Amino acid sequence: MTPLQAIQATLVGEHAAVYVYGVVGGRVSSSADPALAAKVAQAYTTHRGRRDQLTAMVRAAGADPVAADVSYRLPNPATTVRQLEAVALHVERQCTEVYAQMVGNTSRANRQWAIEALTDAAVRQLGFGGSPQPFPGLPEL
Amino acid sequence: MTVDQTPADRPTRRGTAGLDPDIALAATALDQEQAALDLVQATIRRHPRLRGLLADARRAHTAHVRILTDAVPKQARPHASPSPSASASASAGVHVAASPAHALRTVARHENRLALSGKTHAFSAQSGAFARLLAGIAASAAQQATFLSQRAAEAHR
Repeated sequence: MTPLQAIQATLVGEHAAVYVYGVVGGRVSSSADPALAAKVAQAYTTHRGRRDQLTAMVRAAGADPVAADVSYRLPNPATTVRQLEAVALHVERQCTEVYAQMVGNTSRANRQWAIEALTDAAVRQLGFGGSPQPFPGLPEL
Repeated sequence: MTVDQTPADRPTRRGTAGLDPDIALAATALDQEQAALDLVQATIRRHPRLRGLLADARRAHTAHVRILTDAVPKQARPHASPSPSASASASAGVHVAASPAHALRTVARHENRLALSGKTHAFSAQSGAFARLLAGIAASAAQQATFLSQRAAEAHR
């Protein structure tokens, strides 16, 4: 996988994360569950920012950024608080995997970006009911 | 930021000691992971009530020591001791605070330092696959730092 392909693959993951957090954010009640609403809003902002940074990286390389799909399948009906947290946790786990892949296929500033994103997503999992893992982003271990 | 087209896997250049730079990096990471495992073991021994809170940390560091031990040839190893009995004796000399909350905060700070140095190691690795592994290990330490800091703060309330 070339560095550009790795960045495009990460962008695919960010498109999905932005979509899913948009759906989740629309279903979390900020009055009934302000803590979860704040965490979802922060995650949405972070992933939207990362999507834009990746888009800029691809454009700067003279390539066309991969486009988002029209919609993405959620891993559960996402109607209860527990299900919404599970969706957010699922998104962050998927993201740690693509960030780890990007670490392994890039160098210098791009790798640094991916290392920071991987750490950030791994820590964010804890806020959505995840527990510490020995190898976040490396499902084969 | 643009895309750096440098391949993730760079040609290996031997260091001054004639050691592959990634092996030297793995040896350093192994030394740090063993120290973290020793601290967690010593903390559990001094404060058995913390065993549950530190279970994930112990499991993670044991896994890290194991995988890094496999990556480092015997002659390049610092003084890691992947076997539980050897680790138990190594952790016997580690100082642990008398207060459980203080001891927990010490482990959390150690995990935070480990995450920072792990990220530096991942950035420096010549092999892309090894960089990925080191970044995963650093992310694990960052999770532990956050998790244990939160538990220590709750214990303090």
